[in-house]
Amino acid sequence: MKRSLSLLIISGCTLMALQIGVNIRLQHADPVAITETVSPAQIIALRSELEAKGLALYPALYWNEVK
Amino acid sequence: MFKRNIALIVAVLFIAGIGSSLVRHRGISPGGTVVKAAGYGGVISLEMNRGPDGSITELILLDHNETPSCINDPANFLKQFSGKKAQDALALGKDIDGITGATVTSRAITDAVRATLKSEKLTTGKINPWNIILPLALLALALFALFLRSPLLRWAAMTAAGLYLGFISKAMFSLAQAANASLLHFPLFAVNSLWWMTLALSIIPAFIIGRLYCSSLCPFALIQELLARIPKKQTRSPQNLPVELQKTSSVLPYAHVKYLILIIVLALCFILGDTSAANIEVFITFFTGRGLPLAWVTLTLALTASVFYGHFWCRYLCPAGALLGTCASLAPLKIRAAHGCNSCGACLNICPVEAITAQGTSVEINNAECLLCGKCLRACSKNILALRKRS
Repeated sequence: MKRSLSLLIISGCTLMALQIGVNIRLQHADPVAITETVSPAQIIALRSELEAKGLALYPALYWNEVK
Repeated sequence: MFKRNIALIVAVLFIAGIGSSLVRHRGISPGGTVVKAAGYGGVISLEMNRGPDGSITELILLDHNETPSCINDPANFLKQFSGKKAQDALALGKDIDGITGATVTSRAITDAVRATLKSEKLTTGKINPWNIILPLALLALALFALFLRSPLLRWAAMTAAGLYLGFISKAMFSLAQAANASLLHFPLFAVNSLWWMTLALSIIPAFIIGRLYCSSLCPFALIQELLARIPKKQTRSPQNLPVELQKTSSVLPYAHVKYLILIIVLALCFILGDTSAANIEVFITFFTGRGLPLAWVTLTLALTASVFYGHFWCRYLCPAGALLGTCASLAPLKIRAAHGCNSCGACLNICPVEAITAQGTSVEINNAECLLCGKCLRACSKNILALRKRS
């Protein structure tokens, strides 16, 4: 009983730790995408990549206006 | 001693969170919302303050990495947002004049403000009285159930709270809520009164009598209680030994895991200055139907484990429960036993979270773990257990 409980708790903790990591990465992803070192082409590619995953750049970027 | 240390660490993290928020946002007032816009040179942070009707009263530039010449005098630009509401289109060039030579910056700020207004549905500042009356009625029902020792009333409170807070309003006390409070991120009462009510329903009773929210008001506790009733092979043997032979519960140390999670998450929120690390609670995914794939896997694990280990999530992993347990460890009232215990062990056997330990005829209830379900009060044949002042 104790072994299975330990396994469940460890699995739960691992999953929660991964969730924390993913949440932090998602929350702090935008500043990486909008620094000046990222080209318009990269932004367009990133937007497509995010949209394919059901995510979106927030708020929208307007690189076409600064070209 | 352990609980006191945890309480101290949590208190320090809360104070640090409040302090860091004050420093970061230069004394942001309750009701102010931090708006983040993706500008030309990075994130632009603004503080948006609103009046009771939801209209913007002030928009303050907090931080940015824009070209200084483009945004050296933003006051006139930001002043245009005063009085704007969620219904306003906020179109750049029509409603709002952009900063000359900084179209990207102007558009980013306008879009972010519009998105924030729309997302918070600030269409009216009128308070819905039912959002205050119903939570208070639920609290009253839970208190009656506890003091009258009525399982029927407790089930009524749990079911009503599960339906109203869980399935209908989707407003539950969560760690993200507590983390937001620690960072001084408060919604307007008129806009989200249920946010304030669930915080009050959980925290205030926890500081006075203990985890009443966990036992009778938490929608996910209802789900776990129902799952625990699924017939299964006995995994936990009843403790029918004489009380003199009982020792501290062998699984109680596992309950400390949730305090560790709580401390790590609060520390991350304090360091990062946001609550992204706190969005890990499975009940949010369960009742809203939203979450990352990882959240769904965690939810499945928690629900499956709850069938075999009653209140698995509450006992071992729930950081919100750990926070309420920390508050409960400081509560002036707790379930205590008077003299006259006959060592029957009925309370130990019936406690769903193994919060009771006994040595000889002395029974001790761990207030931080106790869910205040009242089962031990009803099980005691000598009727010596009751809610009493801490010694």
